[in-house]
Amino acid sequence: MQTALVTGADRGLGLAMSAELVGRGWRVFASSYLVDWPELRELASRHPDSITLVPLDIGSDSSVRQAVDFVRERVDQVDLVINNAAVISFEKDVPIRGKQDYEDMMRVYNVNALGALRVVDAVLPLMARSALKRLCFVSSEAGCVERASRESWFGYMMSKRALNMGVGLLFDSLRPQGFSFRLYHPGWVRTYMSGKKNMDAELEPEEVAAVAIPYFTEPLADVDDEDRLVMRDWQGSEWPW
Amino acid sequence: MSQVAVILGVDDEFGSSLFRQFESLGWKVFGLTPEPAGGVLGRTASDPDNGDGGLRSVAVDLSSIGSMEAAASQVSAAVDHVDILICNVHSDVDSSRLELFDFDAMRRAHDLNGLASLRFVEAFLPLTTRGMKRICFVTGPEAVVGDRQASEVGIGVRMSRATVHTAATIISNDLRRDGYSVRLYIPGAGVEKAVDYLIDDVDDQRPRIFDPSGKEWGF
Repeated sequence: MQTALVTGADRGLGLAMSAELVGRGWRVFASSYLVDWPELRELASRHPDSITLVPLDIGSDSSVRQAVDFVRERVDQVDLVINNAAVISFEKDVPIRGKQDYEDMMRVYNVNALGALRVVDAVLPLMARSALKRLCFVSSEAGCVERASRESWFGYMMSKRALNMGVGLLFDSLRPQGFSFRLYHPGWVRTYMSGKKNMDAELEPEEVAAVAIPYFTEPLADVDDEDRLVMRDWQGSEWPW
Repeated sequence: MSQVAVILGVDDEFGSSLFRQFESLGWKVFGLTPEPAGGVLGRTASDPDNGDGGLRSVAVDLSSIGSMEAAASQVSAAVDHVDILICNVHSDVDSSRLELFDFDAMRRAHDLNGLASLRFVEAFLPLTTRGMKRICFVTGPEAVVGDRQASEVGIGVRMSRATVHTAATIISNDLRRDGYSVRLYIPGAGVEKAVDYLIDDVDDQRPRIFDPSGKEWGF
């Protein structure tokens, strides 16, 4: 049985991807930040042998270290990491003529841009013996400058741009060591990032998870494509990132 | 009416060269010197008073919107408008590498690069409603995501400087309808070429990145 670590698994896409992995026979360490949110606990109670909840705040160095220690005490190898956890700013619609909330922008950056690097940094030793060594990052079209059309959303867009740069630099260092990468734009998913489920969005998390997990876990049709880092969306289309 | 430039980051060779080049072209120039630990406003010792009695250079705390706004107030007391804002900040406060991450330093790098650039524009934008309406960001190869080159610059600095490209694009999307244009520039030999590009009247639909050779870079 292969082992995955999924961040931001309490609800939305992270929860759906965890369920999809379990359905495909994976053991999943599902990270939980929202202790009062029931869905992940319900999923884990239905699959006690496949899902283990891991308390994790990816914005905290110590929390990430503790979470990886928790995983290490239970398994000696992690094959797949899905960096999914992210937050959004509640003041995202303020244009440059408005009063920017820099403290909140730093909060978003600390989670969205630096959180994934914290997790990768801590979990790398556990992946050394894996044959798969797959690092996945849920990014966003918001990190794509070439197609950016928004007139605000500084905190979120800048954080996703930084994430894309960070993933690129990780790829440059880790691909020669046998790691493979997936950088993903999931589309406009009905998530809870704004506090309640966004029913204006186009996609249910389960729809996206059903196509994301095969992309995250299976080999590419042409193995040489692993040497080129691309960002793909849920339909398989490539984005300038 | 004199043309007026405000340059954030005249403490390095490129920024000071820009300052002198704009002056040589007859512009009135205000240079802001980053002082992350300070925030005391005043004329820098290296900045000559050019005889006009006006304040020409001020120190700013890159991490403080209040410091930026105070600097903008000082500039607005001396001139009635600003034509061009040039953001030339690159705070190399992080040297993180793979397996040698310093996340505190990486946050600091973002505060003093990506967020500092936004603070500068937010604070000085009200002074630019008349005039050329040009906003420029000095960037570098290490901030380009799509064509990553080997660099000694820390990961945190590179990530944060990449966000400046995003900020420039959002600002352009928002302000273009009001006549603003946004430029990105990678410095190299020949500050004259830099100034030519930063003040030319080509009507770009979106921000683009050029270097002194005329090469256009991706983001």
